[in-house]
Amino acid sequence: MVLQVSGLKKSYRTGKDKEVKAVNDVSLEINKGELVSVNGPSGCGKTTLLLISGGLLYPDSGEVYLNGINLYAISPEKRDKERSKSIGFVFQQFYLVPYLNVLENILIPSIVSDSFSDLYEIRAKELISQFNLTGRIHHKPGELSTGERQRVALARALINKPEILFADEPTGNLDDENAEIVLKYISDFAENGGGVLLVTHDKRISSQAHRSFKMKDGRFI
Amino acid sequence: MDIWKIIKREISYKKYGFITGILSLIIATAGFIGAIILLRSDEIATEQMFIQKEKELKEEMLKLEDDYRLIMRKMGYNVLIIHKDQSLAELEQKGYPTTYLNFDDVWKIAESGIKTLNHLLPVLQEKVYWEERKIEIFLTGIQGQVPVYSKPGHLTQDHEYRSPIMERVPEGKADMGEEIAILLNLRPGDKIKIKGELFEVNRIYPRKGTKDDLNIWIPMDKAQKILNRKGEINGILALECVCATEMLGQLKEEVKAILPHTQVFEFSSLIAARADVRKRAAELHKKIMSDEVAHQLKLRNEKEKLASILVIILIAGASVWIFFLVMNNVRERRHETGILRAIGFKRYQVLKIFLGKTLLMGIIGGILGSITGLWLGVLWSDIDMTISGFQKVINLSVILPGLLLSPVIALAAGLIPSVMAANNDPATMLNEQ
Repeated sequence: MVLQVSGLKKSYRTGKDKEVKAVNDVSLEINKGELVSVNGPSGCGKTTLLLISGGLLYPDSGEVYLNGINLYAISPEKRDKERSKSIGFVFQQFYLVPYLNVLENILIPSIVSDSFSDLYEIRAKELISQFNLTGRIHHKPGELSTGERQRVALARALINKPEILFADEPTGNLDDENAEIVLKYISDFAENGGGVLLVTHDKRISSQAHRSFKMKDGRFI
Repeated sequence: MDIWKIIKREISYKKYGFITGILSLIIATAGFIGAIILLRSDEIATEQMFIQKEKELKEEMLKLEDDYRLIMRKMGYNVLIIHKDQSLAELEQKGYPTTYLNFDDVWKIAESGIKTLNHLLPVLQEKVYWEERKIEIFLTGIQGQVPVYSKPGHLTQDHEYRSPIMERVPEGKADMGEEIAILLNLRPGDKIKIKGELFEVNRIYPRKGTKDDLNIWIPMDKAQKILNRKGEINGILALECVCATEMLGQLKEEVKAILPHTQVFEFSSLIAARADVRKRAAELHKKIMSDEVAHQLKLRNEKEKLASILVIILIAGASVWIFFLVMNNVRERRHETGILRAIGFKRYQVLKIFLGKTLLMGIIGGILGSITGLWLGVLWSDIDMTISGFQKVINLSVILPGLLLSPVIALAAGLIPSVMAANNDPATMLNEQ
């Protein structure tokens, strides 16, 4: 098991005495080679669940185990390290660094890694080739199509060879063709032994998941 | 891939902000260094002006003293040391002292180390009836000036005066005032007999309108013989030292301490008045100098105040500008910071990205600002362009603070927004659509 989430709760205050339960007692397990999707309408708590599971947002209660390590029981520094070592993130907005080219964007995680940068560069070029970005290697994000941007974001997420990938609406900004391509890469990652937690409001994507959860008002239904 | 590469790429991507940040730092640093150079060169110029003025004043005062000394010498002796029992009324009436001193008394003064007197001339003078020529004259025996050993500057190696007020009378000769010479139709080289002693006329002194016009000077030993005053004199003529003219009382006390049986008769109030004028001139010069110093100090303080205000405004302006630049940069790069933190960047690494950029801005601004400040400072100031003149104004103590100022401003101004960026919650930043 790569990820085990149990009894997660997270609520936000949106106004005076007004509390929104973004995640309400959610438990989840993801095994190696498993693609799990969570779908639901906007605001149902999918992204909050993903951020908590990815060690980015403290839950109000509940626990998150990544490879047996309780992410919120360790120091923030150790959590940063765990995240850089074992987790990859893909977001709907790509969040590419606009002034770095494709290769450099993919190599960003190498800065926080202990491995040799040469190995990273080899791996980055492999990913670039695998994701059909070879001709775009020195292009900036502004010069790429949205599909290409998401592929770069995916390559960046995979450069560290993570054990689990968290994808938040990875196809939300893509046309069908590009959405297919990106989903295929994500499925390939799962098939190669990686765990995937994919949150989306697109019901079509759920069909490609090994397991799928529906979420509403912070709960799995 | 490293953090510096991210910083460099971001700088080339957002050149405008970086360049304007550097420009603000160049202006602040250049203002700071330029102000220091201008103030320092101004200070050196003022110092040099004072040194020059003081030198001129010193030269002027020395010239004044020389002039004064010359006047004193030209006017002749102005002090007469006589026996304490000498009645001044009788002296005035007869024209010569009627009480006598021992000749050795003059040596006691000469060897005492006295500083207040120069040009000691022992005299033996009496009014006598010159039987051979049927005329009343003043007969004065002199032996030349006695060297005052405490004033070696006035003496030759042989202890003779370099410029005596009165020359000694050679053996067998006589000097005389013009009145006598005209009256008796005498010329240098003529032979005369005084009380049976034979003399040759040596010098005839031009008319002064004093009793010296009716005076005949002969060697001291002959005068003592003629006047039957062996080993005696009746006065010591002297010249007051220029340096002591403001201390007339002191002179009398000093002479009295050496020769208790004497009194000092000072007979030149004109010289005293001139000394007073000289003293006042010196005081006036000093006052003008001290007023000038005070004025220059006041001016300098005002310039320093003005420069400080200007530099503070420039530094504050640069700080505010950089603060807003970094703040804006942090805001614009919220998602970038969020993804970096999500990837595993630690807070200090995010801090390094933002502070690294401001530090680079500071270093470049410091170097260019220092060069600009030096250039403007040299251009606008009156630096002596020799190497030593240049080093006096421009050295490490000027350049180093200038080089350090800019990075310090940049880091201080960029610190708060950078810390904010590092402390931002990645989840919040990534959750923003």
